[in-house]
Amino acid sequence: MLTGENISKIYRRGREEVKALQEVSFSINSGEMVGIMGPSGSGKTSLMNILGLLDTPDRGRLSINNCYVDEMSEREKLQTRREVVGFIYQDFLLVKSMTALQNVMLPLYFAGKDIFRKRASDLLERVGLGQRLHHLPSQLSGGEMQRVAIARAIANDPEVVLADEPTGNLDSVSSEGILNLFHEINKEGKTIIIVTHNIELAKELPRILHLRDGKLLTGDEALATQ
Amino acid sequence: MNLFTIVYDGIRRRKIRSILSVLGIAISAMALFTMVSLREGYETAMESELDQMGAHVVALAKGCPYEAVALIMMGGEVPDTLPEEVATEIEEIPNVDFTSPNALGAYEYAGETHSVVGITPNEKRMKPGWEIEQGRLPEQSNEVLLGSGKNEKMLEHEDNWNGVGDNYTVYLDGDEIYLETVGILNETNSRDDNNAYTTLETAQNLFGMEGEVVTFNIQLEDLGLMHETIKELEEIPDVQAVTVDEVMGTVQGLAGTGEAMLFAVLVLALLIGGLGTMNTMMMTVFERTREVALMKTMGASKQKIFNLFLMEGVAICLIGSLLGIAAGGLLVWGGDMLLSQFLPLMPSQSVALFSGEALVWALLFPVGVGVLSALYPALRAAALEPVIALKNE
Repeated sequence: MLTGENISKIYRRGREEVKALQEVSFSINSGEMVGIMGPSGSGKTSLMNILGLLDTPDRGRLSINNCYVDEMSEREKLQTRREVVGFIYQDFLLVKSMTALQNVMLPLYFAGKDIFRKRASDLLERVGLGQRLHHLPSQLSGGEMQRVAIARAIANDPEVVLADEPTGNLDSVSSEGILNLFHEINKEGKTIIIVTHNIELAKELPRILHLRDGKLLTGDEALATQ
Repeated sequence: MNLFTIVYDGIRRRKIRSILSVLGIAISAMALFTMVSLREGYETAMESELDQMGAHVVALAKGCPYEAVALIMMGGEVPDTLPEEVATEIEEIPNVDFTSPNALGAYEYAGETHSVVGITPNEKRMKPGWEIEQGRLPEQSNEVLLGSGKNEKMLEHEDNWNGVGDNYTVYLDGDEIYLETVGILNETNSRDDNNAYTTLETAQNLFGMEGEVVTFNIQLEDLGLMHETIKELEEIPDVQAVTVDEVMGTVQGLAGTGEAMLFAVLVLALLIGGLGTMNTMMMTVFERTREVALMKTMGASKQKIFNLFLMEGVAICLIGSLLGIAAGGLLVWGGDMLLSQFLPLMPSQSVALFSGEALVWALLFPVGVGVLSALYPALRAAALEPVIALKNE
């Protein structure tokens, strides 16, 4: 489903070059649940941005459903991002002035979908927030906000859910709830990619890609880091 | 959910800033609407006033043309007069159809100025809008015909006022002079409503101008020969001739004094209001950088983000414009009181006119400013790179 071939990403800070990703190759199958682990600055977020079509690699190629991203027009990329990928962030990134329901309706509006109120309220029901539809983010707990963010991420029924440190701001009970939710969504056939440096969370994931200094570690190298 | 829900949410969440931007635009739009409406109202009222005069040309004693206009429009102070016999010379000019001489004067009573106009039977011929509601024109000495407004005032202030047959009193130099009311005019919606009309001779006697006339109102046979006729009129000694168009030009000049400058100031005020809106919109874009990035991760196109911010700017200006028009409407409603503070010459009918032109100006101009002021912030928002924007806190 997602295939990376020798992906490299270099950032320039003045004269200094930062090699965020170096020759990273991987393959993630449809319906897999994969973690991307690594210390700070290892290139996790860069990889996530490339997987989410928010950024482009300087070298190498990414393909989604056997289509090379570098061959896509901007319009096709936008459409892929809208329909194939859903994002979840550590700090939830909810629009503070909008209710839970409105937050979930946003991606449906941008995708030009009909009947989005019904779909959005069903999704909030699905993540256990049926009673919180009209609450503002400030009236929700951290766990509840992340559930709204998950409902929003899956609103357009994407094939892939990309989560960047989804439990980073949550207590252990809420984290467990969120992880269970990811498992449920995964069982429905969605590919889940979770970027984390939380070892406890990583233990619950069937497969982990280890990154260090922008390079993907092999099985033995990865074991050595644990 | 639609574009307007998101635009409304954006405006609502920064109430004070939005209200201030709206107010800035509203004040400019109000001033613009009021100015354009009152200018049109004033000109329309003055034009109608001049139409009611019926004359094509007014001949009067040589002097300052502005005084002449004031005299024609307001029946003001008489600087100079012409001998009554000039009428014959005027009527000998081939293109002159007929002339109606007026001897004007005024007296003060109960803190108000009351005009008395001496006329001949030709005055009714001159004024197509005149209909005599009761009675007839004054024919004998000390007879008076009252304008409808004058009659209403008499009804208000005099007990047992019956109109025709009753005495109308003129207060001059401590004397009370009684004129017999012989007729009441219909309402003309002009200055004539507030005048008292007597015979030429009576007015000459009242105001000490025996054998003299203040103005000769003249109707021409062929308006195409106006220029030549004026020349001939001004060949009569001590006579200056003013056309109705010239009077209108002077009136427009009076109304237009400072108008161009005021207009420029208003446009400047609107542009400053626009800059305020642009500032508001720029702040919004900066504050909502991560939100815009988030929208982009959700698949919002550049066009949608651009529309969103453009609509916010336009909405602020549109709301400001509508509020300004509403407030301007109130000012126009009280336009007579407002304009009389600034203009020496006011028409007798109301200048309160809700002008379509003013509406278009006060609506389209602020909205145009809104589009211009939101354009750059909207472009900035649309061009935001989500990866960079998401890093911003």
